[in-house]
Amino acid sequence: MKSLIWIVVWKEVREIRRDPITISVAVLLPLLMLYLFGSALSLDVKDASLAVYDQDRSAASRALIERFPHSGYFKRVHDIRAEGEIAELLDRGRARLVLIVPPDFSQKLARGESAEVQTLADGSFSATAMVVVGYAEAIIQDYAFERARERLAAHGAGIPLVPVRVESRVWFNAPLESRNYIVPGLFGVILMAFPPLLTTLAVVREKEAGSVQQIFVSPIRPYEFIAGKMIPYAAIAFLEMLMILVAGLWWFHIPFLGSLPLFLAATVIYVFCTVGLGLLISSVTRSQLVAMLLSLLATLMPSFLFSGFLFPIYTMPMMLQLYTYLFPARYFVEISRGIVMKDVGLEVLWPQFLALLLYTVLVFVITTRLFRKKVA
Amino acid sequence: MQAGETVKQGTIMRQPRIFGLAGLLGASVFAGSLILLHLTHTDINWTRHYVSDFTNGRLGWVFVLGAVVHGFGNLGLSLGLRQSLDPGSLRAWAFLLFGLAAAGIMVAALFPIDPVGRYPTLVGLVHRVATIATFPLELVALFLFSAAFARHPRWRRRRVTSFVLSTVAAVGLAGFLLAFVLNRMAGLAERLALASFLAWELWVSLQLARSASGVEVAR
Repeated sequence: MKSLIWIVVWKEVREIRRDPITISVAVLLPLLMLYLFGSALSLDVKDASLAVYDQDRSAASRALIERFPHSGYFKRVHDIRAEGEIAELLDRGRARLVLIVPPDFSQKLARGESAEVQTLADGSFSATAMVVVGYAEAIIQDYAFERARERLAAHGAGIPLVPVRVESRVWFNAPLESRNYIVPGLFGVILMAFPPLLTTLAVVREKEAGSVQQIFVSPIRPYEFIAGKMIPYAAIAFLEMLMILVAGLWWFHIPFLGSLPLFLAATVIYVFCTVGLGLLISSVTRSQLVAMLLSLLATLMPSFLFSGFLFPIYTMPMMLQLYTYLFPARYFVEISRGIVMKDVGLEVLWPQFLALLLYTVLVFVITTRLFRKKVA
Repeated sequence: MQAGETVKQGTIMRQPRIFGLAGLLGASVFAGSLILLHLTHTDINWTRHYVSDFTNGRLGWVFVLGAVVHGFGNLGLSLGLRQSLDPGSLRAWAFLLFGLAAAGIMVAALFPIDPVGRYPTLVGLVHRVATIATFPLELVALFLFSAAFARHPRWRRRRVTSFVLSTVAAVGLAGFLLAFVLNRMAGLAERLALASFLAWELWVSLQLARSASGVEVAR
């Protein structure tokens, strides 16, 4: 009985080896997706080029300007000498932000008046323009707050400036780098995108060629056939995961805080689940075209939309939140982020593990039953 | 019996031709909409602003319509090429990736880019995801189609042109990614990349539309 499974496995391995195109796509595309989404989805601002037009040239203006590079968000790249340079710097994209300090800046501060500074942001990259402006405003507000406190202290005022003081700490992603949560989420999405497709296409191709009929008349049992089909594709999916895990950690310097064995254990369950879904789809379709469309609609699209990878699930309407439980990517994204970012273990993630395991068993049982009907 | 076969073959053959015309229409309408928008918008800087920025300006619907028609046209082209090429992994993956890219174009059109000077929104995020995925998926598809052409008698002599145009698209995309990372003339680089992809689409659509009626078509 056991040997029949391995016969199917061996047959499938030989089929896979005969198809280098599919293997190439299976390797290339996940890496491409990881790299592109990991690098281009980030809205973080780091070392944004800053040009400064300091018309005041005082200790006060220097104190304000120095806060920008010290924040880590800006890199001072140019000192403007004349107003005419500003437009050219922004036009040529040499500065993402221009800070203009007027000539009377320090005098106004000394007189206790409100001094104004101007920021000009390059809005051509619209996704981060306002983030840049927001950081600049925060730095300037912080400076203004400090100046006001100093002045009150100089006048002997011992009362705090604000009655409530906030001490904020960000856990799990202290530098607030978006790639730290995008990449662990991508692991789940990529694994849901390609393995089901590979499996579906492989089985449906056999159906189109008619060779699957030989299986129907052979003494092999449905669960042996399904298991034999699952194992090689699950192995490919597992290797895919190892590949994107290494690439993700290496390219993006993601700190992996949790247990690697636990993560790999979750991966094993998840790859069987994704491959099982591919087999399930292939059991209800006969043409590659329909199989592709169904596979994309049932696996890739929901994994993007309803896994919490892009859109936080808690911000969705209640009905949609319940709907997300239908997709295994949701559980794996939670496990992945939990292990990679939070260093949590089974004591926290057991519901997600259990759900994923039950899901996988259910998919296997349904696929086997559908296959049994076909044999009958 | 012979007459029946002729009718059946004629039906199969006509579809790639129609799909080729659809591809031609989609790429032409999109290119036309871009030309129109460039001529009517003096406020858009060609070298810095992305073409998607047209969505948020005057006549934004022209861009959306052009891109949606382009997406449908590419879906048609993908189906047409699928019908016209021999079955196999190359055809299957090329069709799938080109179809996905076509869907990405439509999603990018229907979920507009965030307007300049506003904070990022979820709609803008969907646009970003769609555009990020579309270019590389289509590029891989172009090369796979070029390889598939080499295996089909009718398309074999077109494989070199297809491969050259695919390489031009790869260079265009690499240039765009470089300009994006360096934040230098990203708008211009995007237009050049788009033009290189459109060149392949228009050329292949034309080949499909012109010759599909007179040759044997794979089932």
